Amino acid sequence: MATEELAKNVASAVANRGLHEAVARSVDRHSYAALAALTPDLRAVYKSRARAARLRSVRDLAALAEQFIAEAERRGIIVHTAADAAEAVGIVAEIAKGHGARRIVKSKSMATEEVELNRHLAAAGMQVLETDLGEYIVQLAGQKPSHIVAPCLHMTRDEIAGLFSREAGRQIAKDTPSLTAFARQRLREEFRQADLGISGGNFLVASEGAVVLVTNEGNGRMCTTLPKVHVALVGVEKLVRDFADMADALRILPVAATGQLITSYVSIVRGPAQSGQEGPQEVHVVLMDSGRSEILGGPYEEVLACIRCGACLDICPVYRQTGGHAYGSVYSGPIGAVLTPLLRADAEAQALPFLSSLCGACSDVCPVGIHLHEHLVALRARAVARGIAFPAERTAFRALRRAWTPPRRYRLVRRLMRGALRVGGGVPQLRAWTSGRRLPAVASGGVADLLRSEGLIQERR
Amino acid sequence: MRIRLFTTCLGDLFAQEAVLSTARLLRRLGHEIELPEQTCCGQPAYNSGFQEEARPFAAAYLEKFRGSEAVVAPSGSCVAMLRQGLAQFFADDPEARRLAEHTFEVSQFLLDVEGLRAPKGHYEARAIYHESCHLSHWLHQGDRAKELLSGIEGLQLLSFREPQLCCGFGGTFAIHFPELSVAMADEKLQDLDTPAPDILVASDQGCLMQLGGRLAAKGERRPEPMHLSVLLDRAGVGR
Repeated sequence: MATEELAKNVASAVANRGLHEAVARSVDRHSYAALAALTPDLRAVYKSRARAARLRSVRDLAALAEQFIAEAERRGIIVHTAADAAEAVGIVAEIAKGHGARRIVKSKSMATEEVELNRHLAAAGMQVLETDLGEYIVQLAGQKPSHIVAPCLHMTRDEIAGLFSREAGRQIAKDTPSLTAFARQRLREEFRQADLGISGGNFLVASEGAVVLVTNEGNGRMCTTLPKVHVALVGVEKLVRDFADMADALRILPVAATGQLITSYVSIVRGPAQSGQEGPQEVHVVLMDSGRSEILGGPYEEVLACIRCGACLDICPVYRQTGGHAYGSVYSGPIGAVLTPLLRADAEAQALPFLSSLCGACSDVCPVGIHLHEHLVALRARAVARGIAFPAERTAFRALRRAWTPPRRYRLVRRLMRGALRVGGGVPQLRAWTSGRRLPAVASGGVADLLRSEGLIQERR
Repeated sequence: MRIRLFTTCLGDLFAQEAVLSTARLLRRLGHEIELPEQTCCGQPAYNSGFQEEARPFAAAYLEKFRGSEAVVAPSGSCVAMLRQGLAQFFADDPEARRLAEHTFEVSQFLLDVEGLRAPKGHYEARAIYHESCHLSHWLHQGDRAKELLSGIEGLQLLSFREPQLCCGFGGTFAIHFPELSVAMADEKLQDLDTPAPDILVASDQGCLMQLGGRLAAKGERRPEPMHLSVLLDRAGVGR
């Protein structure tokens, strides 16, 4: 059962208290910085404008895709459309093969993680190197990113120094300058050697046919300018109408992600190098649908407005305990628990919305106002309708409904509850509660009698 | 005002003092209280994905509380559920929409309808207020309930460093992921000052059961979990 599998993964993540400490430290740093970056009033202004602009784009996606393709092609970009993950991977692999690419440098991209691009390219004999520092670290560790924005946030400095030392064949000190100096020197060489650069995209500007990248390390710009071929794999929901419609989302993205008022690099890719200029000779954009258009027009449509800032992960009281890997999905935290079951059909994905205490902090912090906790609740109902629930619950809730409605039955059954709870110690659900918490005793009589005997109730005439 | 009291099932089964105190407060403030026949709000089923099993609970509430001038419940979580259930299951019934807007958690009623600001009272204790998530994020009240405590003499109100952190209850979540739920309670409780406050105040029995149950399992005597209504009642608010 998918729910039991999920519960098992969660339990083992929770048992790792070192993981919790590392994750909590990092997400708190993000959250505090984000909170301090803007006044609440200003935040509200950006939020409502960014939300409106994102929704405008999402609701016009088909037309924007058409416009983007026309504009991009006019500027010499070769645009491909991929209906699903397999097609997207196939297109990128074909481009790489066509150029005889052996060494590929890649900047951070959740879309490429989603389709497991690296695994497929490696299987085709190509060597793909992640050049975002965090991605480089998780790649060295043979892991997957555990956070949308900060891929290695679950790791400690000691672990990272260990990985780098192994890679370098010598001791690398664990202070930040030593660690980044090693990565920088190692990656520089790769940028010069690479035959192909792969990126994702934070925005696709339809009116300009442009791919916009938001990065902090400059590696994105290296990937998109040094190799002679650049391929951008981007989810179709990243389309925006024009630069004006992108402005507020671009403004709020680094604030929500890390508390930066502006990101270090905003790169706008508008086609291959003109003759005499430096830059890639060929630029490809792979517009990937992979489940997005099925979300359009339905109750979860606003989820496509997500700008992948990770703020909901940072504020989530569950994520800080488990980290991202326990979700078993590229997208973790609240947005992952909502997006994954919409993009993936498997039972494991459908179980993810249960991994939330429904506190609702995510909905409040989301910079584009996605009602995440409401979607979590709705997707639980959808999972149950598809036969995915926790054991024995269907029977239990049917029984509860029969016992407690209509209200007069509740009063009758109530008298039996005390005894039932007392002898119910062997029921797994009750044991799950009492394993770490005491259960208060059930009051012997109903509270209605007490209210009346104290003369607090005015009887209806 | 003629107020109808929704006791909540947790209030009836586990926390009758909170219900009694809520009623006493409202009476002292000059209201009449009615107690219609009632049952649970249906949230356990609803939030576990069994919406069809939750619907009869919402229907029962609508039937028995139809026409209420105001309904008050000692739980933000149940009020959020009642509002959601009425809106979703009876979208075409104008009375359901009206009733949803007239169903209040107790601090919400005292602040927004009664218009109380820093009422006078007296209670000697070091207290910490826990922002219940459903009151704070679902009903958008934030930590406004603290306003009701600021005029109480003798009460030293402490703050969590991370006030927005959930206690880890989450209804059936506490049973689906027991280790996680307990770890969340522990993180919340770790955020308490030393020496521990005398009382932990919240306006949701779910949170109080979770944190109180965890404290009891660890053999901790302090803080004592206390519903907001109980504190206001004992402080003599409205007297």
